[in-house]
Amino acid sequence: MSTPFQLTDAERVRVDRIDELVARGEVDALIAGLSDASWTVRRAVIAGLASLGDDAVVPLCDWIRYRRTGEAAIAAAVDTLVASRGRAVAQHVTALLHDARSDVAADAATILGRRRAPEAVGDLRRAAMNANDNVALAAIEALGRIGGAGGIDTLIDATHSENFFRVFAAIQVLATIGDPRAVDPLAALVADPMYRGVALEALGRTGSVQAVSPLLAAAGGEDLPAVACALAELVERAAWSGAEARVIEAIRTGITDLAPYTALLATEANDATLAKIASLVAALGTPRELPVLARSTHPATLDAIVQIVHRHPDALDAVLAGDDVRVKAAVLPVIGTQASAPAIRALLADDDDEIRARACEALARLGDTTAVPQLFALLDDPRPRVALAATAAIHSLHCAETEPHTLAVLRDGSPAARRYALRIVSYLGIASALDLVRAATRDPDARVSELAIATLGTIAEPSVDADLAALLARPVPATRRAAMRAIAQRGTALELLVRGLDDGEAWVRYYACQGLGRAAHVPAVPLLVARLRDPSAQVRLAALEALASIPDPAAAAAVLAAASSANPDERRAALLGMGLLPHEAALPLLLAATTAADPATYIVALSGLARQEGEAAVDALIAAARGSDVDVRDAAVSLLADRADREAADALIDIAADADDPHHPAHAALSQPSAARVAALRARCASADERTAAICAAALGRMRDPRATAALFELLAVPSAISRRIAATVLVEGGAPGARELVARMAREDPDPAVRRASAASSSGTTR
Amino acid sequence: MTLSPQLFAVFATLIEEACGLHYGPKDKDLLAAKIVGHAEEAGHANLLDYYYRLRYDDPDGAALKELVEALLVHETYFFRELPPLAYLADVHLPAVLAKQPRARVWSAACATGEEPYTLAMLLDARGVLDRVDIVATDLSEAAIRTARSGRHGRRSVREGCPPLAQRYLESTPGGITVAPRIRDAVQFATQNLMLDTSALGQFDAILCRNVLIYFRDDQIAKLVHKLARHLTPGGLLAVGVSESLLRFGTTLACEERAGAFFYRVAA
Repeated sequence: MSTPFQLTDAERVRVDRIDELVARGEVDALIAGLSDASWTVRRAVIAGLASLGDDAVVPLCDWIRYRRTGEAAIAAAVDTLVASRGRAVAQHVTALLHDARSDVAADAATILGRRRAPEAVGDLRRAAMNANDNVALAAIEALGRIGGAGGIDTLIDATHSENFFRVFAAIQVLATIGDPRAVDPLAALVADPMYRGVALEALGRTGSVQAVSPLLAAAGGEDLPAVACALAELVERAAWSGAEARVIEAIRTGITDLAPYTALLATEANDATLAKIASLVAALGTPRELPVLARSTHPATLDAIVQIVHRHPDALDAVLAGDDVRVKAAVLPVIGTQASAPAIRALLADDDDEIRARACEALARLGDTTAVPQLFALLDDPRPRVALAATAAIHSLHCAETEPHTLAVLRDGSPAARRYALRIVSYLGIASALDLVRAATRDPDARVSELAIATLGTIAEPSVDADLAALLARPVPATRRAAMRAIAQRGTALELLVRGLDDGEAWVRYYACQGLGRAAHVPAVPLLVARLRDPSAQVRLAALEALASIPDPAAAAAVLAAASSANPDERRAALLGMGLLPHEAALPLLLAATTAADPATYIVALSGLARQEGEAAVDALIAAARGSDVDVRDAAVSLLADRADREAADALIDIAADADDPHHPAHAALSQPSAARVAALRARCASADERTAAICAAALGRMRDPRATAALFELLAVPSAISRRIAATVLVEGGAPGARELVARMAREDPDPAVRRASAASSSGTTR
Repeated sequence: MTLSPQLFAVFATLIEEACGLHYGPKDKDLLAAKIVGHAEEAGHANLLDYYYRLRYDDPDGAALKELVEALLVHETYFFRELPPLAYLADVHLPAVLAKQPRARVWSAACATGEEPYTLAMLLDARGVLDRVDIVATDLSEAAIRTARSGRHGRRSVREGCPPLAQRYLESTPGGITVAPRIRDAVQFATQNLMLDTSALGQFDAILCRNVLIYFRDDQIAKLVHKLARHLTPGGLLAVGVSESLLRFGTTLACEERAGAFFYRVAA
């Protein structure tokens, strides 16, 4: 993992000095530090000044107004006021907005926008009309960041300004403001050749069903690719707020013939455009489009084929009978209809091994037991991928024919087929196979005999213990290893497991440790502790994992001690063990491990923390979820999503609200249904600022869960006008039953004029 | 067998250490499918046992090599992303040959060999193939075997070929066969780019295309630094069209030549 804050010695000295200045509250000296040549040191100054709150605000505003020495320092001063904890920041910065110098006023607008300061909307609206373009642009962007009804009229006015820069900026902001009133002015700009392209894009980015009509009106001629991309974007954005189905329905109503759009896939358009067009065809297409899609080599067309076939299973047979391996491989995993079983069974003999394997998987999913004899024949397939898929399918399709076929293969099959048959015995516990399995333990093929020993261990027959004990006494290490693995799995012969700890073969000791851990055999703790010094690393690790599974103070102490091992795997095993056994002493070690340099250890520490109670554990997960390493971030978000507590749900809302990326995994995590998340989203949406409320409402919309829909209806009656307006939009766009009527009533009766206007726009119809 | 996030992290680290391939959380299912198949085939009951086997009980690295081999992507075809190859054949290498008797080119991750063969065809068409040494390496032994055979599947011409290809590629019922003259002009070898490459020597041009997308940024920076050391003064490095090195602040300067982008060691 990269460490962005690696300091040189000289920087370290300056950062330490900043800490001292912050402790003493020496604002002027800190402001001087904003000009430091090092970015890292300036970040420390920004954090320090921001933490001082109001004490630093006036001096910083004065610095921005009167000093302004150097671009890097100005940027740092702006960042500081954005991050400041002061309560009076908006008031003082708003004063700067009226400064006669345009650079000062533009900085002020930027700060207010980035702080998302709704109290500054009135002043920003005036600034958006400023004679200076820079000030006006900064104010328009700030209004966009703050969002809400207060700025929309100004933004719409800006589209009429006939000033390219202002119109352009207003278009960008209107596209993402999430207010249905943005659609009309954007649609009007489509008629202007200067703004046509950017206005089409913006209409797509609104994600509003009301954008469908103006987009379709613009379709045709050389604009068709741009319209297709905008429609694809519209569908994607609508999915974000749960309105995808309504948008698709509206587009379908408006497009009578998809052929011109599909034909675009054969043009020389760039990759991104082709991917967008393919995604539009995927959303709207019918089997009629399949031949054209199959001819395209663009990867996105495969997704389109899969989606269309998924919606139209009757088209499957034709696709499966085709000769395009790529298409068949893509379609097989999504087949869910019994009618296609004969066509899939035919593919078990396909020339391509991946197709044969996927056909096995598809038949298992369909529960097609008539395929069982053919699947047994595939146990002899030369490709392991196919034989394994056939084995898994046989497991899944367990039927009356399975047992006789398995016994027949065990008796007469090739060595490879016998191995797969042993797996089937093991998985299904076929007791009638005992004698054949016993015989197989003496098979001349070592892989068969080792697997037979492991299989023997899975058969619930007491006499097997004696067989395994006898095998353990054999001189061949591989035989003993397989026998000990089986004994460890059975967990019925503790004495053999204890004896196995001293075996000369490392893997025998390894499985002995595993067995003792699985049995949580407390008397073995001192022996397992001794194995922590085993010459073989895998044995030490198995001993450590076993100790982590045994509820015993000496075992816990050994696990805690291993957390500082030099071997990363030992450290990870210990950290994982700490997660399994919540222990007061474990928390600081797990927290310390979150500073580990390698992502694997960090993620293991996080997964240990995810099982711990308390604020510190959640805080560590939050810190990781906000980190710069994408792998760690995604893992931390996923672990937060797995937790059922309210703190984790609140943290996910904060993370999503702070992320500028609409594809940040926190959004997807928030829309996973759970009672805690619905409660947290509802509560936050009821009182949040514009942006956070929009994120919460959209997550509830995407959840497609009755509890989430109920929460959105409840939000129509909360005191916050912002929340009512946003919930109304999400409910109508998502097509919730009864929503349109209720929102239409709000358009007449809501006490807030902005809510009435937005509700009227939302409920006025699907296509204007 | 399931690949938990923890196991995914340790397997990803092991694989990255072995060959530089980076697997992020989004690749988890893809990696799981490969790992589970190999673990089952090797007779392991769970993935942790398999990991320990690869990490601690694989003295010659054969088991890990087998897994890595299965993970490698050999996605390539003849005449793919042609402009950089055309520039090398039409302009850069003839200019080098005007100053010295021979030139050397390294195709650093050649997969099944379509890229170096394409370059060889272009150089032959210009009449300079006999004076250019083309070294082509890949981590995958299986890919190198296919490359050496000069026999390729039909997908290797899926984007179509210019007319000159008819002189060098023969369409047979079994697929596409490369002409012996072209096949013999390329020296193939297996090479892990994460390991020492110094024995390969200096090159007037290096092709390392559509490889860096599978690496993490810090590995890319190291690899690019390594490749730069293999370039002669004035030598050119070509990466894939979707790969840019500018964000790494390397010692290489980016230049556009006849519509293709190359990097060369900054003066």
